[in-house]
Amino acid sequence: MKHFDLFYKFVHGELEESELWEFRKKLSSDPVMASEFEQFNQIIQSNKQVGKLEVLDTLNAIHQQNEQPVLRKLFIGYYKVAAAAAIILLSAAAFWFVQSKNSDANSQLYAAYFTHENSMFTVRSTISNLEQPVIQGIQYYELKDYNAAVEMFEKAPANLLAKLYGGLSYMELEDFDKAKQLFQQIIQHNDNLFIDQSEWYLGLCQLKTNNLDEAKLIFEKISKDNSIYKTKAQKLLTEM
Amino acid sequence: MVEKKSLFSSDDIVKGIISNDRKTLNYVYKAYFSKVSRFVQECYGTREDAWDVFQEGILSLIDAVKKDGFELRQSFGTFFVTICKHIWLIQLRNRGQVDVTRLDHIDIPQNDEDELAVNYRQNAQLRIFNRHFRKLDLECKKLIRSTMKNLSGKEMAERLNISSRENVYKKRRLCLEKLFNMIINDPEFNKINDYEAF
Repeated sequence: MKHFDLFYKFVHGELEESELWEFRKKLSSDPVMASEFEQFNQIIQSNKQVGKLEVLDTLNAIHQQNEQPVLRKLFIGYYKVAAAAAIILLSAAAFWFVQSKNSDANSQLYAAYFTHENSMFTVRSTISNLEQPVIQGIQYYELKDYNAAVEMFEKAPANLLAKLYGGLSYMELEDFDKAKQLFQQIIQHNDNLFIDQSEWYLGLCQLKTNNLDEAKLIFEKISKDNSIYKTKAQKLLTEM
Repeated sequence: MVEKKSLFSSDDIVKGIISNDRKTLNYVYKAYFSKVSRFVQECYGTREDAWDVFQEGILSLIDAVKKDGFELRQSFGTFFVTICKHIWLIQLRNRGQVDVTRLDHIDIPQNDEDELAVNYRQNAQLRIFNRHFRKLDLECKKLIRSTMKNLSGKEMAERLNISSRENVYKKRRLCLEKLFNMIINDPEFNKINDYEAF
């Protein structure tokens, strides 16, 4: 954009009186510049629609997550995959028919209890020791770009905060097996600030994946301990 | 699919979309993107076109429901898919690549005029803005977004670990210039100015 500097200064009130007069004069006499200024304003207006932009961010993350399997299907042995899928589907259909009612109830409970974890409190209390990929991962997490967040967290495999927000990111991406692994690693570490959160979210992952016995064991432990999730776990157990 | 449908009413979906609830948006994507994609691909478009239409459909829906007195008089699915069909036909007409009389056989229920009184061009621009914004590095994204959160230069410097307020402003200007150049060099951005509104 040829006049970007000028437009930028104008909208930020950085033009001197004489520059301002010159700017307005040029704008009224130069149709190319006027058209460029209109485009500039259109883009500025777009950036102001934060709510809509955040919805687009979320949609694009969902689309990206769903398109990867579609692309894989196009490039790997199509017929083998189709045949294998048919066999799996036939077996799964019978199983699903029996399980669907329980699964529906578990999903509803999960939806009621799983809420987006705000990173601010946790991050502020530990920010001075954070590695760069963890900081970036949490920033992606805040932007709800969970695929990018996970990529960053994987660069700091020993960091417990990366494991916690990696697990939460995988939950948002509905990859519960990977989420469980990360929460289990934090719990096994046994000497950190994130055990309460890890136990609670591990329980929710077990609930969502219909492992009710495992989920109950975890929630029973939380409801007996002095966990910050004690009340929630007690309430959830009565609804299971 | 049956399982997911039982989780959301039409009102829940609308509220979830407006509040950027990922679970709701995930449900809407899984339930309706394939329908929108099928329609677009049957009408001279590609899967990429369908994704553009789907995003604009969501933005138009947000505009529609925020209007005073909005009332959903049909199911969410019917309303949303109809919006998307309208958007695709407008795009086809404006591209001028297809004789729209060839599309007369397509049965699209007419929505209430008020419900569709949305700023179509603005939403297409927003989609293009977002397409290029997503290509920026993380620091640029944070700098540009933080402009809208009324943070002071000092606050931005602290949050983004940038050495000084002056460097924040300098970096933000460079990020914006990069973004603006990407957008105005996108051929679609310039074509959109010729689009007709609903």
